[in-house]
Amino acid sequence: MFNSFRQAMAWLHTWFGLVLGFVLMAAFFFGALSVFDREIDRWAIPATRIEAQPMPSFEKVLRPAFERMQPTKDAIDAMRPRVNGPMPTHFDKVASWSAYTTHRDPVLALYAGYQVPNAKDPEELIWAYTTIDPRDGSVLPDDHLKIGSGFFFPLHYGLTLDWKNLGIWIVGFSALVMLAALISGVVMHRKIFREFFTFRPGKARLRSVLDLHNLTGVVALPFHFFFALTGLLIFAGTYYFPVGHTQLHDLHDLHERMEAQETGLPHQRAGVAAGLASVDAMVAQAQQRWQANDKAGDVGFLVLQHVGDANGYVSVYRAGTDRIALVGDGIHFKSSDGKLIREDPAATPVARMAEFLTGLHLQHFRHWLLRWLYVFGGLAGAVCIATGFIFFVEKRKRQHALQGSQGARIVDALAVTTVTGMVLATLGILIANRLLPEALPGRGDWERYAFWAVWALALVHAGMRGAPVARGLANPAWREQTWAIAVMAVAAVALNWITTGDHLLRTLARGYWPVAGIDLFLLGSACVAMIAARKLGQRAHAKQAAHRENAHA
Amino acid sequence: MSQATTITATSRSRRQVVLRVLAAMFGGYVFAWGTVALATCLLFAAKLDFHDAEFLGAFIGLLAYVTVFLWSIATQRLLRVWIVLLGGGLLMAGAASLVQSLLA
Amino acid sequence: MHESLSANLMLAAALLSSLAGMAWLALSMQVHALQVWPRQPSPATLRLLRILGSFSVCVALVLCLAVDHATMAVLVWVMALSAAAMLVAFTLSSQPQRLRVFAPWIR
Repeated sequence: MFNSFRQAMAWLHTWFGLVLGFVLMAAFFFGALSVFDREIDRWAIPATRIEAQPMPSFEKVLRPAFERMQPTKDAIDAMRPRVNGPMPTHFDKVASWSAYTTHRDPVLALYAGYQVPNAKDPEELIWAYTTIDPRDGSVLPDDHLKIGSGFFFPLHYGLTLDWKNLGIWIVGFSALVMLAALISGVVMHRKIFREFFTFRPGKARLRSVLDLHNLTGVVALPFHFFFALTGLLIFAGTYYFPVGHTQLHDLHDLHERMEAQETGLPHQRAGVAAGLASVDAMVAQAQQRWQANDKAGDVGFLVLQHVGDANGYVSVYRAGTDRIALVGDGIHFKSSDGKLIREDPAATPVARMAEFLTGLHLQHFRHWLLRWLYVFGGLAGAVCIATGFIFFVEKRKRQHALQGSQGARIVDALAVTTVTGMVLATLGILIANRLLPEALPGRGDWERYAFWAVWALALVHAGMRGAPVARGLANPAWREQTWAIAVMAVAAVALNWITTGDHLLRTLARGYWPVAGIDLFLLGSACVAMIAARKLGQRAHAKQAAHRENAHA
Repeated sequence: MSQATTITATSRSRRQVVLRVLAAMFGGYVFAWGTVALATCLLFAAKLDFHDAEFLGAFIGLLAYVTVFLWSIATQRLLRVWIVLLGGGLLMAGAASLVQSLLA
Repeated sequence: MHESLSANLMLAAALLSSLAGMAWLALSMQVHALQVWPRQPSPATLRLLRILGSFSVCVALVLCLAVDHATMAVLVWVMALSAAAMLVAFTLSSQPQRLRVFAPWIR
């Protein structure tokens, strides 16, 4: 199809970059926001603006909370087609109870998996999920949307398009294209070392946009490459290449049997009822053992398997707060009498590499500098993609204007929507979060509608204002939406003050960084947006003045 | 920056482009699946822990996917792309099932 | 990582070291040296700047390793270098003479 490898790579980079770039923008931008997902949650749910809490006592807090859990009506309805026969009114065979916490969590998410009687797949489980305040076990209402961890985070890996996991597949393919775009970009960029620090804003628009595209792409190249790759790896076994659950199911089962024998951790229930010894005592023992190995730490993950059965066991994992791995050093106890079954041995080299690669993406470690550097990387990636769109349009709009083609106009409108429009949607959901009545039923759903509605409005605005692009000129929507960003960002901070009383002076004085940080970031973004909008305005005026002079001359 | 060759808008060229893109995307996926399956099996047979084998298999498979994706676009003969990707993928998947039947 | 004062100071030093390293590496390139100084520095000077830059980049890694577990330290280092390179590039494009502070002996 092409005369040379370089030309082929240029074609690939341009066209796959253009089409999947829209998805990648969302992945990078919401991925960058997800670095501070739990902080955004706290901004959105003022009732959770407390300090981060350690894993609470099982006997006092967790057990009563777990025992009250049952799957939601929606979950039961979704399970119905997978069951031959009636669905029970109460699920009481608990496959597992689990709680996971990090050093940044003020509230605790609890998961309970139940066996499903009469299910077509005997290993089928139905899940219940709840969030509690770890200090007293009180439950957080379901429809208080965790805008960070419950919306932006799933948006970045699956676009919240859950039908048949289509969104996860689309993002996955776009991640593959990201890798291809990075490699093809390097092939195309002949002066990658010579132009490493090159950015010439004074030169013609096409050159300076390309400089910025190259700069943001190359300077953070390891980041972009590794995040795309590790993102794919995290979901590879479950979604993209579920080889172990399908073609190699037999090998998987063989391994499970071997492992159950080796570790003494039963894979199945015994079918004999049994009690539960003190889990708190087991946790204390686990912490003592870590300390004895010079690895004193907090509990990150607590799992009870086969609850209520003689084969039940409790697993206590150490939080990876001080390292890249998410959790580790698991210690397992027999549920009925609290006796130690097993202390996990050191991980194999491959397992260590897997922990490193997934941990570097999921970031449950405690390191504020690295977190902010991750935000920088994510935003650099977003700028790289955005400048890619702008370069595409700039390169073709004059030619399209002469040909009477609408191509550049369409791509430009989509670019505005994906760049400034996406930021506006983000601000829209934060503003809706502050404006909607506290007790509104389905509040979370309304917040989501606000997000998509603002984004749709941005698309319509960009499309309607885009006529100049078809004449080879700039779309005023860029400037107008940038101004809107500045205004809405300030509005969000103001609304936080008005509706919660947590204004910046108070949060800074208290040292309550989760909320202060978000407010400061919003104000900082407003400043950047204002500067950008004014620059765009000056450019537009200069163009107008030049036009008028030409008309007079 | 180099200029990409202009694709003339004849329907035959357009069909070639579509077929090539489909080859890269779907043929590439088949090839990647085969790579993952075979690599996982062989690593497990080599006494690696199953989850470790799965992870490494996925790693190798993803790198293979990116590689054949680029190759599919760059190489000259489209028919060869389809044969290598589909044929290679199915062969590797078949080999994986064979290894599995010997082990499990 | 302990949030002790010494840890934070060492991370700050690592950031500065990354910045200095990237600045020196940039200044060791003819095209950027000419943006910063009116006269082209000698090849020996450019070579010295390149050595200083490489050394500073290594020092940054050592400082990162002194603060954190190796797995985290490497990530901090790579990202610090990225951010530093970006900052240097933007400085070169807007106020290049500010980079003279890194090599005040050059006229």
